[in-house]
Amino acid sequence: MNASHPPRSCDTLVIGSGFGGAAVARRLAEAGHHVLLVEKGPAIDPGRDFRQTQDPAYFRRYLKSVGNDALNLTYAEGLGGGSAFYEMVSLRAPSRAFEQVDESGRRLWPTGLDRRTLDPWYALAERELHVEQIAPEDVPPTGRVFAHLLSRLGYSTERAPYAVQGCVGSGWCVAGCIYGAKQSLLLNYLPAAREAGAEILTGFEASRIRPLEHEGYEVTLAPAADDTASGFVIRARLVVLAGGTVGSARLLLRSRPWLPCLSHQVGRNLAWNGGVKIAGLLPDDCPDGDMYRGRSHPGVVSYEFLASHGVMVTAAKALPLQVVAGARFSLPGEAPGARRFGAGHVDLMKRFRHRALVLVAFGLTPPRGTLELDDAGRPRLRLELDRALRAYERRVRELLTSILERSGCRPFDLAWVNGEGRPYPDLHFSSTHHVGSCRMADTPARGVVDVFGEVFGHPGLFVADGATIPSSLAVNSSLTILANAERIAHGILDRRPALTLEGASR
Amino acid sequence: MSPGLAPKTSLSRRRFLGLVVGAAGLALTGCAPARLLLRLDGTRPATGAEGRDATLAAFALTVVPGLDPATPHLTRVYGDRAYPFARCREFFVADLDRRARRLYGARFVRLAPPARHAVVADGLAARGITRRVYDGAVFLTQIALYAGIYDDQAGCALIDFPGGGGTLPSFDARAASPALTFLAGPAVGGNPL
Repeated sequence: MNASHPPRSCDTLVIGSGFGGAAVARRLAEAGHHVLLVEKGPAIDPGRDFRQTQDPAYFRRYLKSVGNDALNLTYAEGLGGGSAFYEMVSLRAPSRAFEQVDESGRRLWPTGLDRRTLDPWYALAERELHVEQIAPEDVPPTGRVFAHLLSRLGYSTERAPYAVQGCVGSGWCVAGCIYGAKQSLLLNYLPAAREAGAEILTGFEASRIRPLEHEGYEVTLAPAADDTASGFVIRARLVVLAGGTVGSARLLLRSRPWLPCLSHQVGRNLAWNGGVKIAGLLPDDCPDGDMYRGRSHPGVVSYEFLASHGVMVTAAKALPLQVVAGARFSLPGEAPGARRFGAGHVDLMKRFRHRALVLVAFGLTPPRGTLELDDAGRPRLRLELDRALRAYERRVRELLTSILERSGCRPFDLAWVNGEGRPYPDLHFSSTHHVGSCRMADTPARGVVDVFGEVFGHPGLFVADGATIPSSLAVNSSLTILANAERIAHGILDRRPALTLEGASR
Repeated sequence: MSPGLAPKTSLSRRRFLGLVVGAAGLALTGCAPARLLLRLDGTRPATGAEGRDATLAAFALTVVPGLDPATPHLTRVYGDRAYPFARCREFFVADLDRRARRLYGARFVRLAPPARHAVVADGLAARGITRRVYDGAVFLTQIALYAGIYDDQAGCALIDFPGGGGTLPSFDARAASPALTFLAGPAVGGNPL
């Protein structure tokens, strides 16, 4: 899919090929812009590259992370961004997510942007990804058990919508779908962009953005991994950053010396959905569910606690890699370390296929994280585990534990572990739903881009990915990012319908 | 992407193998106490590569007892240069034997399973770098053997994990789990209001 001879100038340079970049590249190419889309990660051919595997080396090729003891963020670097590895669940964010306010009572989202105004863009994104609510007969066992337990307690559950066509339920969504059923961007937006004339270049990272004297920007592109390739500079009248919450903030921070009007909010206000997880053994009166069967996401979610606790609750499939790499498990009352290894641990692992259930809550946690650059220009994450955050985690964990206990389940004691397999010293969050490092706002004092995604003070420079989303969403973030990117793309076209950079050549 | 223990959140930990014992490995080769340990115990196991592999196989079966000793790739992960633990392997084998001799007067591979278990527990109770190496060794063993990382189709029969494969049956949910009973809430098409 790589452009064989990348141009040295174009109308629009899109940096990043995930839910933000793919939509903008497609819409602008369809409108006649000469578009070059650059992706740092490798090209992906779904028919050749996807595997049904638990091999960490496979995931490490495409998935990267940044974090510390308090918070760890995982993001994709590969053509199509996170769409190749997500669980396909495509939810609209609840209205209350858009109405969140900061400590001074000011709304986090910019004026005029809310669920109602985003709904048409959600609908467009859903059409393009073929999003449909899962059929009852297709709900995987994890979701059936989850719905069964919640309904016994009188709590509501809903069948979730997914971006999938012809799902066979093989259960390996997050490793990439070898059947081509998952509607990743590799199957729709990116081919459509290319069909419309967009050029796509993988394996190159944008390292610097510098404004041109009169109009447009000069972007330095360097090979991301291939030492034999040469970097080059490209000029573009419009530059759209879509490298994700981490990548877009990193690029803007690196480019700050050349972007004097950049808001001091770059890298700040990072939100991450405040995921809280617990797990337990099912009661004897609950029938077996083969938790390894069916799609990765359980098919069922509950909004029962959105008003009371600000969280959506669902379940999760826990394959062996996720169990071991996620936490040390033990049963209440047992000696610490009794199941660290050996027969006790094997016994525990045997139960995960049929008798264990993992509950997850995504919450409307405040945007308190910060991304900075270290001396080498690498992203560094900061998050203070303040009293409010600890209270939120405790309240939600107690809710989930209560659900399990009142259902007759036996909750595990969990110690979340780091990359060395050692427990974190304190409360720890992890997320793939991070947003907000270059958030939309009404003024540069409050955010980095305006409601149309244009960087304050730097006309023609846009951000169109999750970095623009100003708040936690309490649901998976992909559909909101795509809908907002569609809105931004159409906004660019409304304001700049025709563009040709003088001297642009293909 | 999945939450929590689900692949997506757990994906958030996928850097672990790049990091697994990485710090320990680097520290081991970089800091004075580690160099001292290496010098004291030797960088090569006294028993040679065959003895080393036998010791590592005994360790793997101590961490995951019940596994068939003929399991393919039983000890491959310890020498896999994709993971920093490979740099600790010789030290680790030597330390297993040293602890086994101290506690039971024999090499690790000659001990009965309960004694092997006690030796590993002793290593996990150690301090500093040694403890990190043992933590990493157990972690890596469990990941490699439960998840079947060197053969996508293998899975791990011991824990009833079937592994991947292109011919998995379609949904059998209704036959194997509770009837689907919903109490519908305030939502449209599965979306919150």
